Amino acid sequence: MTNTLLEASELAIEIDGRQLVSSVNFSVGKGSAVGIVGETGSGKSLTCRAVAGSLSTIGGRISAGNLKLNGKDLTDPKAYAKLYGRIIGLVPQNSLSALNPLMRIGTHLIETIKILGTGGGIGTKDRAIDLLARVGLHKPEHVMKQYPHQLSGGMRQRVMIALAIAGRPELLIADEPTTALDVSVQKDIIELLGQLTREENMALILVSHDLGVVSAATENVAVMYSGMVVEYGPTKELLQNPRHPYTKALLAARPSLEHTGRLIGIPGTPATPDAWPTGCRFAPRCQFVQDSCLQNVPTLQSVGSSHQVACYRADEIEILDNAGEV
Amino acid sequence: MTAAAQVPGLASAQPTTRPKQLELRVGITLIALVVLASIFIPIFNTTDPNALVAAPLEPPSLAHPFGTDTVGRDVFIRVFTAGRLDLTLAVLGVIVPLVFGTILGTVIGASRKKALDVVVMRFTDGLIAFPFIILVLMIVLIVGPEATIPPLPPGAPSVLAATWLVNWTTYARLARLRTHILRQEDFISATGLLGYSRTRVITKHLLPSVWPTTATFAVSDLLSIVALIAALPFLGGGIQPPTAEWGSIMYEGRGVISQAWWISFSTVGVVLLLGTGVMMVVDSLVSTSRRALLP
Amino acid sequence: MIAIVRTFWGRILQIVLVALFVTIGTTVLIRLVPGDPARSILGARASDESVKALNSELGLDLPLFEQLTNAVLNLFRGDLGTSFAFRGQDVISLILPSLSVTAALAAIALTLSAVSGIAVGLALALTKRPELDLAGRLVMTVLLATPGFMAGLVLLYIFAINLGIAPAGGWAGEWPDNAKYLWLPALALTAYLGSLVARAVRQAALETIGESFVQAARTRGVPRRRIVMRHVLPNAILPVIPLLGLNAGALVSGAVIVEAVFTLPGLGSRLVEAMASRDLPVVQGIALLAAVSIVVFNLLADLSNMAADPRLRKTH
Repeated sequence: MTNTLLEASELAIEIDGRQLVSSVNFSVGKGSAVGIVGETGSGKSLTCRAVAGSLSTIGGRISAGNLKLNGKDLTDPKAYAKLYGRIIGLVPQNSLSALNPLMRIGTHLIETIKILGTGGGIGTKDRAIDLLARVGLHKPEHVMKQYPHQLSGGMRQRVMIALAIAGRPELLIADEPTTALDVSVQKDIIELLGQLTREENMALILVSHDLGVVSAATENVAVMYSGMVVEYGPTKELLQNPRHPYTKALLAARPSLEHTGRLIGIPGTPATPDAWPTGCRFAPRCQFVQDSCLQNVPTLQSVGSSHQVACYRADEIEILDNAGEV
Repeated sequence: MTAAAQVPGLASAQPTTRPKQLELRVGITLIALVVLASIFIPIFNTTDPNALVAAPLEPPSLAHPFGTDTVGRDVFIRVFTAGRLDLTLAVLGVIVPLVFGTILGTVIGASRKKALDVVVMRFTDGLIAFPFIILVLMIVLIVGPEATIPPLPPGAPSVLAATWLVNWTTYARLARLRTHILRQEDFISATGLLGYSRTRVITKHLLPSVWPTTATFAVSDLLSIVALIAALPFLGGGIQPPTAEWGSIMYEGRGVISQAWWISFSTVGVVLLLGTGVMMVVDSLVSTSRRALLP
Repeated sequence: MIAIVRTFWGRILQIVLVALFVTIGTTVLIRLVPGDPARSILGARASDESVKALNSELGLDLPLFEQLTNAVLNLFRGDLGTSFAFRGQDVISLILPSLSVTAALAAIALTLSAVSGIAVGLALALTKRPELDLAGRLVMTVLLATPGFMAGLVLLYIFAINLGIAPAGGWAGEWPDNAKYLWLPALALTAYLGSLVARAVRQAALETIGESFVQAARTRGVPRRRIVMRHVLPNAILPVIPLLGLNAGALVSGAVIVEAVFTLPGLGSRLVEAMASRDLPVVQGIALLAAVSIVVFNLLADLSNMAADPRLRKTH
């Protein structure tokens, strides 16, 4: 029996013939939540687009590897037409430009429900109001009549979530759903995503540059750097026991309300696709770099039951870490 | 075709400038063609544009490439002699309002006194609501259709007076708007902090940045003035016959269009070449059209 | 609501200002016209006494300031005076038939331009064949370089003279026969205005297609046809309304000249006639009506723009 909904293996992505992402491996179980974390240019959004079938709009394509949903091939963009709304739901980055400025919120919802045929026995309009209530909007009847510009960013993002789950998809994909929002609203939206996907037994792919955001709603997380997955494992374990130097640095650079100590930045900047080093792509910025790191690209190796790291010195780092050297 | 330019960092790799360069080159070539023909054809072909050279309404032939008109004058030489006049008037008609309007608009835009701004803007509001052609006809009537300033032919001063009196308003508006935008930019607001004098800010910093905007509009304005001058004979104004002028040639041709299409059409053709060139130059200067595909 | 009311009263105020401006402007301009209006009405052989008498009858011997106050007072009474050339005839009743011709021409041209411009602009933005888009843009460039009266000459030759499917000019004087005389001149005006609309719609549609709400609609399973009709089209049409408002003056100017090409009895011919006979109240009346109708048109454009775009109406 297979419990896997989505599986990516050795996925590579190119735009205009330039390979920007390579050897991405991860899987999403039915009803489970996976996070993808990395900084700008790490390839996390491209990976997300590959899964969402929207690479072609930016001139990109999957150049190698496999992408399977329920065992069916997804590397051909044409496969998506039947999946959108019903199997795959998307929550976009910027909620203001993701709603038609000339259409009422209610019209958006009714349009979607009618097309997906998910009104059920309660009628399209009632179903729309019900969806708005489910995403935590007060006075949903009133919101139905409003235009996008009359809502706050957080409210619009809730509407986008309502639209994404209108077809009861099996997989919800959220690409940086909170970047355009106030910090105070971010947490609510992430918690809503986590809660809804658990209740509806939907799988979730949550993309963010913030490990903290991802940790609130996911069970597994993939950390990406310069177009590769450098660490993958259960979210809790990764947060408590990061094995890749980049993940470590990312955690150290994260502001937090509890710890008031100094933030430690990561020295240097990520390499651009034109100037990727031959060896490990994090090597130029890594404090643990050694000769072997500069020769070959490290691949993901298991370091625990389901924890994988792409680093030649992962074992030593743990020891060094425990010895308090870092 | 690809929208790769939307990906940060890849935008510079897109060769978006090439088609615009082509558009600009074709446009300049078309304009140059008409301008050079108007300059050189009357030099090499010494036929008098007002001489009766053949029978009236003769169709185009080798001797008379554009045929002859209602009294037997050579249309070919008349069209290009007219080109000299129309182009000169268009350039004169554009330059004065361009310079005056740009400077006035920049000064108003840079000024902190509201009163001047309100007065000039209300005035231009009134003028803009006015159908241009009616105003021009009235001015033509006041100056007198026969008025002349040598070497310009009768009718030319009234046309120039009309464009000068009306057209500066558009340039003033454009310049004022541009100045307001510029004032919010750092390099201009910094000059205030540095204590530069108002005059220096206007002449050294504002005008050089306002200029390209109004000058671009001036290119398309050239075409509107050519069209205006050519339209006036249809309304009983403009350059008076027998002077060769595009509008009066077309008007003459309109009367006999069922027998002699070539009189109107040769002029329409030449003006369209010029106009298409002007539109191409303007497009290449302002438009940014990148195609995205509907998924 | 507040925004709508403010726009409405702003435009009404502009109408009043423009009417004042035009009345004062034309009165002053008329004073500057060389020659004596009474003399040109009565002819060169009229006696000095009769010229003087007519001048005083027409109020032309009053000081400029008094003429101005009289003109403004009459304006607020809705009285545009009587014609000089057609003695005793009311200016408004003289102008209205001509105005209706010009208005009909402008209205047909406006409708044709909007419909054809939107259709062509949207088609060019949606086509997957870049060579079609390029060809369409080239045609638009040439048409944009074509003044209405030149397009009129070409259309006149092709449709009226060669094909014989339209009259080469003239006027029936009654509807619906008038339409036969109007469609060709309207087409001539559409060459420019329709291209202007098509270009704006194409550009706006391309921008809309690039917007993420179009992509988002697709990822909700909305079919392509509905995306085009309900999401792209309404947003692509938005810039058309202010564009037409801005070009109202140019449209009237263009109509006046095209009328001359097709010998339609519109404002153009009335104006030329009034100018030739120094019929100053008629000239003034035409200027006033034309200017006011352009501002009224702009008011309608503002209001429909607000009706179309909810972002322009502030409801809270």
